Amino acid sequence: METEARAQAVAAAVANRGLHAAVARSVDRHSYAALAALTPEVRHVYKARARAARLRSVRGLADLAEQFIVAAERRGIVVHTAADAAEAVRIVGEIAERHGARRVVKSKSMATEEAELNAYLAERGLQVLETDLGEYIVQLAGQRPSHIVAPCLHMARDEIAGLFSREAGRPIAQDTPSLTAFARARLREEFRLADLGVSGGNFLVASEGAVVLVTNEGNGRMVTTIPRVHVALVGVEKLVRDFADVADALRILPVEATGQLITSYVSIIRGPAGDGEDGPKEVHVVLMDNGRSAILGGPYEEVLACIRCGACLDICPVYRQTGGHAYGSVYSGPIGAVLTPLLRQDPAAQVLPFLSSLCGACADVCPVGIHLHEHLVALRARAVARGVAFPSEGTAFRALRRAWTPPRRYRLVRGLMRGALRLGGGVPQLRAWTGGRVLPPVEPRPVGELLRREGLIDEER
Amino acid sequence: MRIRLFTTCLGDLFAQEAVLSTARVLRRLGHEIELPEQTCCGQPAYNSGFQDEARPYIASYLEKFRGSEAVVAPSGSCVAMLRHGLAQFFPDDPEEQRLARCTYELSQFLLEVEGLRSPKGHFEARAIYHESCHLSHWLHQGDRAKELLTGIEGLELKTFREPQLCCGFGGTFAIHFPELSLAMADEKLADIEDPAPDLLIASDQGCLLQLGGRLAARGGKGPKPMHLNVLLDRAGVGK
Repeated sequence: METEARAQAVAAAVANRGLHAAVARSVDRHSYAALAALTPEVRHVYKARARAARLRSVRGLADLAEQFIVAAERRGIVVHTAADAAEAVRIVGEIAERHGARRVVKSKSMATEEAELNAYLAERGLQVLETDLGEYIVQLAGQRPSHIVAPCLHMARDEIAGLFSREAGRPIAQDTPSLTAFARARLREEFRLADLGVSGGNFLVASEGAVVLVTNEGNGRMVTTIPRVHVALVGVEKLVRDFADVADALRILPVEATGQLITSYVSIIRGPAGDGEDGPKEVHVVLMDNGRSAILGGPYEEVLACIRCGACLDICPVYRQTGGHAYGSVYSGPIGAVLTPLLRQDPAAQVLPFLSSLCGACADVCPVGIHLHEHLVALRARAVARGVAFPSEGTAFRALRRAWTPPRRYRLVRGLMRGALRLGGGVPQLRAWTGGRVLPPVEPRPVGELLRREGLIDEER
Repeated sequence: MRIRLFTTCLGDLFAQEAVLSTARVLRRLGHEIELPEQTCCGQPAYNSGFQDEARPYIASYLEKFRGSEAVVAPSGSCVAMLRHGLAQFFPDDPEEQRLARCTYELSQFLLEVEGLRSPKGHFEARAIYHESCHLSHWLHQGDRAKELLTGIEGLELKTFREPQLCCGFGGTFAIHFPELSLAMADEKLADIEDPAPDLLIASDQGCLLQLGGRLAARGGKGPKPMHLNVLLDRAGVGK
């Protein structure tokens, strides 16, 4: 049962209090940095601009894809379109094979996580190395990223030092300079040896045929310049009209992600290097659909405006307790609970919208104004319609509706409820509630009687 | 104004003092109060994905409250449900949309319609105020309900370090993911510094059931839960 599996994964994550401490510390740092970066007024204006720019692009996506292909190919970029993840990884695999590539370096990319590119390439005998520090750490740990922006935010420093020591074959101290010095030396060698660089893309600029990468560590630039061949695997929703739209989204992306006004590197890739120039001799862009076009034109269309800043994960009271892995999906937190069931149709994905207290903080913080809370509720209804629901709830809500919707009957039934609740945890669902909380007794008389007795009610005219 | 009171089922079943206080404060401000026949807002079914089961509650609200000048309820959560339910299930009728707009939670009514700013009152207590998520984020009132407490003499008001953090109630969420819901309550309660205040104030009975129920299960130490409307009433707001 999908609901049970998710509930067990969540309970296990909650039982790990060290996880909560690590996650809460990191997400609070992000949220407070974002608050400090801009005044509320400026942040509000930037958000409105970013939303407008992103919605414009999403609504014109089909046209933008055509424009991008024409413009990019004019610059010598080879553009591939992939209907789904399987086709996307096959295309990358073919490029690697054509070039006889053995070693692949990657910069951080959620699209490649979604497509499970690393596993595909590894099965074909390629050595794939993540070079974003956080991604490198989770790769060493044999895990998946637990956060869109900060892949290893669930890990404690000593765990990371342990992984690095194992990799180095000697003890690595857990202070930041020692950890980064090790990673830097180790990765530098790999950049030199790699024959293929794989990146994602934060924006695809249709008017220019350019790929924009927003990074902090410089590894993205190494991945896209040192190997002979660069492949960018990007979700089609990352298309924007022009650099003006990039600017509107880029003003708010690093603020919401890490509290920075701008990241250390914003790379604009406009094609392969010419003769005598540094850079890859071949640049490919794989435009991956993988369920995105099906979202266009429907009630969830604005979800495609997401710029993957992670702000909704950082503010989420559920995410801070569970971390990202408890969601069991590549995308976690509120955006993951909305996006995953839209991209994937399997029952396990349909359960994710229930993993929310519906507090709505995510929708308030979202820089592109995605109504995440409303989508969570709507996707719960869709899940129930598809037969994914918590056991016996349909029966309970049908009975409750019959008993409660005629107001006269509500008054009768409240008496019965009072009795039932006094008997304590007779109802199994209720036991889950009373397990850790004391439920006060139901008041004996309907409140209307008390209101009238006190003379607080004027009878209707 | 002639105000119709929506008591909410949680108010009727568990928090009658909050309902009575809501009526008293409104009467003191000179309003007349009617009490139409009513039932639940349907949120438990709606938020659990059973929208067909939620629609009849909204239909009943519409039938019994049609033509109201204003409706006031002691819960931002129920008001958010009524507003969203009317918009979703009955999107085409202007009366339904008018009714949605004039359905208010009490603090919302006092701030938006009544225009109260720091009303005078007197209440001796040390209290900590928890923001209702549905009032803050679904009704977009932010943390403004607190403004109603700043003019009350004798009230020493503390705030949470993380005032926007959800208490973990979430309706059936607490039943689907019980350990998670409790961990959220515990994190919220851990944010109350020693010495603990006398009262834990919130404007939604759901939050008070969650946090008050958790405090009771942990042995009853800590602040006593009190609905915001009860505090406003006892402080004499509107006199």
